[in-house]
Amino acid sequence: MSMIPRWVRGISLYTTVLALVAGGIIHIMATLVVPQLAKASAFQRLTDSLPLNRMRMLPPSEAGGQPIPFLGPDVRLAICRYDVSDGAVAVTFALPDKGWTFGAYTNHGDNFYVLPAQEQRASDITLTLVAPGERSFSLLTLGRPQAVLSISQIEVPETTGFVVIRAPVRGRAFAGEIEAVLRRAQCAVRRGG
Amino acid sequence: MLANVLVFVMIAVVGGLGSSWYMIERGSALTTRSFGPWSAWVAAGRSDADPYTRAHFMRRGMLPVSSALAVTFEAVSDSDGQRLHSSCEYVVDGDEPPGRFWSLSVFDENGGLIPNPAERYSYNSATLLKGAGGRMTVAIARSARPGNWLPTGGAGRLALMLTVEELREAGEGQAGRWRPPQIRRVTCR
Repeated sequence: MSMIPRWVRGISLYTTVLALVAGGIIHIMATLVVPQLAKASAFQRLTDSLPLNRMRMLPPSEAGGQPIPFLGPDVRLAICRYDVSDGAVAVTFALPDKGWTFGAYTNHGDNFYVLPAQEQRASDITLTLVAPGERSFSLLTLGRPQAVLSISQIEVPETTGFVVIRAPVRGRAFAGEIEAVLRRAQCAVRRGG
Repeated sequence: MLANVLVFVMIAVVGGLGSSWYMIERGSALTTRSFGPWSAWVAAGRSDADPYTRAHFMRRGMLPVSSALAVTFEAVSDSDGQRLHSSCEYVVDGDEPPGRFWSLSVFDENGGLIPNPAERYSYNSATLLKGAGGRMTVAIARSARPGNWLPTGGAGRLALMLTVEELREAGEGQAGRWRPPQIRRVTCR
């Protein structure tokens, strides 16, 4: 009477529903656990090669010498692996042209802060990374708008992570100029503050 | 009984893991925008990125720039849906991206730059030899080609990355009309 094979008819609805629920749970767990297990992540590679609280300019991307996969030669990076557990970390850098960006990341790749270059902005910028819950408001800045405080002080979600200054390379002629700006960038634990 | 166990394993384990892998590796309509062979992760490099986007970039070892500042289009197949491979020759052809700065790079499937004597791995808005009306035409081939040529050596499977900065700021009209270039397969060996 029925065209459905006998073994299919033997599958209970209960099993099917239970499998769908279990499949959903496995799907969610697998998706969430991948970032934790990704040993090849950019951040894992950088953790192994970069000193703490020091800004380092990565070498230009070339065949056999790429610091990060899928990073082309049209971009140069300066990166600081920060740790604010011993105090706030001050980062000083310049974003001299449009296309330059400053980004702050957790060890798991969450980009929690990004600052693009803007024409009207002063060339040198200093940002202070502070530990979770330790954001303070200096007496000197009382009376100023909240926005001023939020730009100069960043409360990081985890005590360790990375800040990345990204510069587009518009041609080999610009390489020296870009390297000079990136080399000037600093990252250090702020003493007495 | 055996059928129930098999169905449970197929749906729960294979379905759960397989769908997770697919959505992390290829994305879905929820996480990516597709334009022909190109796809862009909508929330790349953003603090509000969804778990699939985060897992995609972490698994591939990438450091994405925020999609609020630049859009990165990735292609692993040509406009006919065939997997990009170094045994074939392609032409990337279309209107030049409207952003202030863009770059087109070719990688092997693991994201490595492909060694070549010319040390040529990419073109950008400053280095491309533009065609009439601001058209971009780039040959992707193992052997040298006239004009803009990106060598592929014997890399095997290929991936193309087209990063366009400030695409949204380039003007709603222009940015809205622009589409990533076509990838035409010319020949295969």
